[in-house]
Amino acid sequence: MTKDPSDEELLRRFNDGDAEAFATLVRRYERPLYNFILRSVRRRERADELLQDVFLKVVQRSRDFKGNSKLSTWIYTIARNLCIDHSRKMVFRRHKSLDAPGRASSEDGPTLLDRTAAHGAEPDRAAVAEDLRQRIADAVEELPEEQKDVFLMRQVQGMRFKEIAEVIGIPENTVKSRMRYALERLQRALADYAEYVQELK
Amino acid sequence: MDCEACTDRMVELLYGELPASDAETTRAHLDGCDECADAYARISMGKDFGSLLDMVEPPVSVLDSVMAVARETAAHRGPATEPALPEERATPPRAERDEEDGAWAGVLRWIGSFAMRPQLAMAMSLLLIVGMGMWYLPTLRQGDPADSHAIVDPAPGDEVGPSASLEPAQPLDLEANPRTGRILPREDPPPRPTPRPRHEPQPVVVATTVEETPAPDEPLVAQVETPAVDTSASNPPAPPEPSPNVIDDALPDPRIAVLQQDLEPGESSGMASASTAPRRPTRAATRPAMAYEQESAALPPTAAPAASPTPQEGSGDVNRYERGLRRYRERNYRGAADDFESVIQRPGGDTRRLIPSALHHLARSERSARNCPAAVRSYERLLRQHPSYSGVPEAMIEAASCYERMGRLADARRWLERARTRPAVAARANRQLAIIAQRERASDRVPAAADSAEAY
Repeated sequence: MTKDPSDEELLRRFNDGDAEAFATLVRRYERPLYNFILRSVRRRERADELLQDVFLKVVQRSRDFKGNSKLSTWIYTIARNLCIDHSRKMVFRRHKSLDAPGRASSEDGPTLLDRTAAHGAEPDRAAVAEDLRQRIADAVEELPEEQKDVFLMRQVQGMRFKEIAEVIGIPENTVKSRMRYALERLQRALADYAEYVQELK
Repeated sequence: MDCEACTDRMVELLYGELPASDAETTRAHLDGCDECADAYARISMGKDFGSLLDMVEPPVSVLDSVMAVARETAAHRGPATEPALPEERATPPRAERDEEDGAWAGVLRWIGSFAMRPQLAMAMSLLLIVGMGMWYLPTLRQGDPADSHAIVDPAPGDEVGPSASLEPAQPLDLEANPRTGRILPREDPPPRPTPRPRHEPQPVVVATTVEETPAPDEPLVAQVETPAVDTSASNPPAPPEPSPNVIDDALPDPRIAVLQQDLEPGESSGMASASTAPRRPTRAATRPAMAYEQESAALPPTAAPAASPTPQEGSGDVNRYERGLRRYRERNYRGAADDFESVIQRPGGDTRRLIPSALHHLARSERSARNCPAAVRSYERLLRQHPSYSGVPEAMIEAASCYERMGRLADARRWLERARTRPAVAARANRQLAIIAQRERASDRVPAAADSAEAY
């Protein structure tokens, strides 16, 4: 069984004219990168455009990559910069997506207890799972931007804290602190589902 | 481990990035500290929630367009490793296309492949601009008095005459050598007929190039300030006033006075520079006259040096001087040097004023004979004893040239520094100083380069 080529090796092959190597890279990054962008910009159509822009920039500037850092760091730097540019453009017209569900906090909607009471003594677990997924998405979306970036890169892409520090340009300890704050905030926002999640585990 | 250190390491422990030893220590602290254990449990629950985050699939259409661009880019960068699909072979190989379209189509296609390259476009634009500039340059220079006079940068060690671009064009007696094609001063200028009663203007031959070095047969005939003699006046001409800048060598040639005595009132002597009364009072009247013009002015038209000296001259010193000039023109530098030396050693009453010029010619003869040490002695003597001689600026340049040939760059620079204060030769002196500085820098670099080569 042959070991999969590294990201850097795939990019080198692409620079030598191997388009299939770039296809492999796209397959590796498309899903986590798209989710990273989607959680940042919140709108799918914008996320589609930005994902395309990220890969196109990688194609155009692939020869600029010197290999001083990991390719994932470089790609996420491009993606984050594009997301920041988009956020600056949208800062005056930011609004919640019309199809976005309500927040998970008690002020914004019914609690899990309310919903389970409404559904009877044996709540539909599938409905709870669906509700939980939506609540998690909302909770992540509500994270402060600096915590959300760290959380998504660590949780979705699986980047190490050192790489995240390189992408964002902050000390590694700051990255860890932001990650800890993000996790605590998620735990507080989704505390109603703690028992359910424990059961899932 | 205290709680603060434990808090710092919790996240790393949670995601498995903590080294094993630190992980064990941190776990031990968590086991014994309820507060830290609660905090760890909270972030652990947050991680569990995060792991349930739905992953949204990206749209396929977006990635298709990305891959299309990637394939196109890869095709330009190198040979594709993936086999080309049969249907992708939309364009036949070049050889087949050439056969189908003909050779010209192949050539045009090859040229077309360069057409849109930005570098080529920039180069073509630059060429176009330069071409247009060169096309219009002659048009712009029309009417420029300096147009017909090229200024030639001298080669190291050589010198050029003063640029005539700042002066009105001077008529020169020149003729083209049919063998070499070079334009040289006329060997023996044909005796100009004495114009009676009016002086017909001589055809003006304008030098279109400046010789890099003065022609060896170009005599620097007594650079005398020759005042215009108004022969049309009924009264005999008053004795000319010497210029304050010129000492004894500014006196008029006695032969001119002799010649003037033969003329009737209103007649012209026919000499180009000395007798044309309505001559413009330009700088040309006070500067050292051009050599051949001056020569024709200094000598009576019928008095060829070797043919029949004027009876009134009678002086052997003058004959020696003229013979020296003739020998100098004939490139007999040794003989010329002897003649000029004799004039200097035994000056007669009429030739005393010729001493600076003779000394200058002696120096030039020795320089032309490649006897630079003797030449610099003569130049030094001339510059020391006759500082107000009108040819001093030229002599400074020439002396510097000799010193430069001898490798005595410091002495050359000394005379060039003085020459740069004289407007007539300042530009040449500056150029020559720059050349010397360049030579000195080059000579400094040679040992440095050798040192660096040794270092490696």
